[in-house]
Amino acid sequence: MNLKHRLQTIALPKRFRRNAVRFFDRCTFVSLALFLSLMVFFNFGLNYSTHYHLIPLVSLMLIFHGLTLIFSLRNKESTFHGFFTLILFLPFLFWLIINANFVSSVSWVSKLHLIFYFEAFVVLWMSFYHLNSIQRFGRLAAVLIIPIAYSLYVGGAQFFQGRIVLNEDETTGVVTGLFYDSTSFVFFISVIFATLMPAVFMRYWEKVKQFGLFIFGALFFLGALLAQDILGYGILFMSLIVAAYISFNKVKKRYYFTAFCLFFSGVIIALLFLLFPFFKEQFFIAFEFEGSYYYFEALKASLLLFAKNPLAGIGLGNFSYLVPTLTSVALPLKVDNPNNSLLLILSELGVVGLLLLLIPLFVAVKKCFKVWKQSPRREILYSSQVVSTQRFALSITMCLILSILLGGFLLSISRTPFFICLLAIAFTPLGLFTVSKERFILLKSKPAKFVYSLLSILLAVSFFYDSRRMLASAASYEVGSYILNESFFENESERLRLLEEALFYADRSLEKNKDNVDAWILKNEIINGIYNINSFHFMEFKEPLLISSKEALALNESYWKACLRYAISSSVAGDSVEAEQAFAKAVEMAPQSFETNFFMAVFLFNDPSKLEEAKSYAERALAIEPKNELALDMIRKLKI
Amino acid sequence: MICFIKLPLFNILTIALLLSQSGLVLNALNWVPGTAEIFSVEEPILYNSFSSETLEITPKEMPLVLPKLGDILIDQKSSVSVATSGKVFFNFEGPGSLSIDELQHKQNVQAINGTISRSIFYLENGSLILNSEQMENGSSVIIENPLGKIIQKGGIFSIRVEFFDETFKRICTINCFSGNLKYYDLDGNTLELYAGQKLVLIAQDQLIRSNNVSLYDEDVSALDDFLEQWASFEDFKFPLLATSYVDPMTFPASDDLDQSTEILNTVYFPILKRKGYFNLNTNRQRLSLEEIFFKKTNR
Repeated sequence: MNLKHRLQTIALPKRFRRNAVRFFDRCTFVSLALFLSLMVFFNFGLNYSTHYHLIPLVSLMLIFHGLTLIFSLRNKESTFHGFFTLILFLPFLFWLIINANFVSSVSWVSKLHLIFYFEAFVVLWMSFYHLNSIQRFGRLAAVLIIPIAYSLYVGGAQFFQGRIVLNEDETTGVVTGLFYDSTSFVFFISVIFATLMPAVFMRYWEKVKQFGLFIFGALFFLGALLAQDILGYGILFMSLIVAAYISFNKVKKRYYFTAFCLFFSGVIIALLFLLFPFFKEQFFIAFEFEGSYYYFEALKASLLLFAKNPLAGIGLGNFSYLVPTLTSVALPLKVDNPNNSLLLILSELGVVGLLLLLIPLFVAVKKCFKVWKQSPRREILYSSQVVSTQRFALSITMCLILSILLGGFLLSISRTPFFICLLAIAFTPLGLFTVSKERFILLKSKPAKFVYSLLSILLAVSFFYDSRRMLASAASYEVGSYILNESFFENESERLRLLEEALFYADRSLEKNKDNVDAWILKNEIINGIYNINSFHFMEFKEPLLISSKEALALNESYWKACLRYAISSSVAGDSVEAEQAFAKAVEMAPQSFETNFFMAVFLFNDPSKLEEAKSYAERALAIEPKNELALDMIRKLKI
Repeated sequence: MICFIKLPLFNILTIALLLSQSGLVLNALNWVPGTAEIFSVEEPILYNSFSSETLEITPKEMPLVLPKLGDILIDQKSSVSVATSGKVFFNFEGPGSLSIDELQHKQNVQAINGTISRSIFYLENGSLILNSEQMENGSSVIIENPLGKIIQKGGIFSIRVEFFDETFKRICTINCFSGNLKYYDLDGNTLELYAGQKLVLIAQDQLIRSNNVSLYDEDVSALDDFLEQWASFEDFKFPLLATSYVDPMTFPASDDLDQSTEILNTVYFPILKRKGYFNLNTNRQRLSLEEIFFKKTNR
């Protein structure tokens, strides 16, 4: 008996394999649906600690996908719809990996953002393969409706009326709910609104269904208006244009629809102005702080950051880290994006990154648009003319894709993990309606199939290990920072307790990821805080203070904050020469940071011969944060 | 045996004496200095440190760690609230002076805070109410005064020493509120007081009379005031010892710098509240989910 014959005898029965394929395929789909719905429920993937618990689902998706392929028998089961579109996104993913490891100056943050992009890639990958029918697409939408409805309900409660309630309690600015930011809220509503419009106006479903969806659409539109967000209104307008263009064939109807919606919004806003005197005071404008607006400053900052390294960018997720290094931009708060996806990608990933992303996006959208244009407008169903299923599905897809992409001009969508996944999902129907030559068959050779499956399983395992570690570190760091901030509001003994707790989290963050430079800095700040409580009792903390700052500096010498903490630690340790050099370097690196200028002033204040110099630094710090009490105190002391 | 026979008695005694002395010295080395912290003063007071100049302590400076051992001098009707690292807290009311003669902790390799402590005070004049209930077992507080000394190993008591210039009469009143204490008078007599008892001593022309009675209502209300006052200190925590005293050998060597001057020369860098983001999504100020999913473990 030869080997081939033996293998055939021990091979699994076809029926078993067919059942296995069906089972693992369903498992992948369930994991995908669960991943997306839980992501919506857990703050759209924004919180690291909750995101940490979503990672197993991504790995499971990859493992189930691999197993599906291993057991696949027929060509149909191994056909990869939209495979070539997926391949087009690969160079961008590779660029992200290169950028995070070799370009970025704060590498751990870049790797964290890389996780989100990779997840979106996996979602795209899985949905091209496993969302292989309109029914599945519908089921996924049904699963997503519950968390989305809940998030909109909770999110909506905090804007408009919520703000007024908060104002009465004199706690303005305390934002709760699943949305922290009304622009994201309006963006999401606008995308849903645009997606609903083809279903409302295209003759595909029965009139009752259309009417029901019309009511929902009107409510979403109203909800977006009530969010009182200036940028959000811009996003809503763009979604309106997209919805009008796709949903109506006749140009006249498009104009009528747009004009009616604008008139409707005008009337609603006018009524709100008349009926609610608080309404005009509650508008949210991005980059507003204490009556001043910094929107254009943020845009300018992104262009200047782009100019720093036009080709490769400053590094994924490094926006907020490098803004203080700009000499001509001074902002009172941190900025981690310019509320513009294009500028954000351009500054962080450079021209290379932008092109590598735009090319597949352009190709996919163009393909989608072409298929949409070519799809039959009408088909006969039960002796009545209705819109063809293909056109209907592609219209919804087009609305989804275009509204997300256009909305990206007024919101940095890449900062919210769910929004990138949503864009990935939006391309799914493209695979369903592509011509057969664009489908890729994996089954042709058995070794190739096994290698592919094995690679996906290996990828799942390595991703699970790496991303869990990274996210655990980031989550602990986040909690530690939060507790440190809380300690400022407590009395001395309680502060000591909180600082000890924060130190525990900083240590845990470092335990998970030694390369987390921010965790080292956080640890350094906490130790400094404990030392400040009683420098006599905690005298021995000087050594760990210096060690933690040295560790941070060793990880990243070009990071201004690491340099600043080292300067402070050296000064506390009594090495004023080293401290002076490090302070000078920190100020040179981040001339527009309040911290560098203020601490430089504090350092120089102790040298009677350098009081004038100290005063100039204190004044510069005060110019950045005019109401900072510590800086005001310093100025007062220096005047004496 | 032979060696002992050959050695003269004097030499044996000398060796024994030397050994006992070295034991005492070693024992003394095991004790490390403690700290005292002032939590409140009504009016400015003077603190005459044994090793440096006299400091004026004002209510604005609270809480304040006393730099060294010394005398608390109050020349008017004012009071000061002090806690020590030996888990003793007391109120001293003037006019008068209270000397902190000794604050020590038994050195332990593992820990220093929470080890046996001993404290010696000298009350020249004034009123002192002291709580040592939270002291570790084996710790003691000694209050010396012109009429004798009190030793307590855990409890609450008060002592008032008054001196009348005209009659040269000195009155010492001791109230025991909790636990028990021993009083040693100048003649070497010992009196033991239990919770609820009062002892009054009057000294005039070398004559000392004692009267052992129960506590008055006003004494109990003074105790209530004392306890209420300490309960009102929200940030009250016994001062900690510098853990550098745990094992001097492991402390980083600083040959060229005197540690005390190093402390004085240290630049104070405040820590800054972390700046928020413009983007409210990034601020992520809500941590309820972290509390659910990311509870502290392995503490």
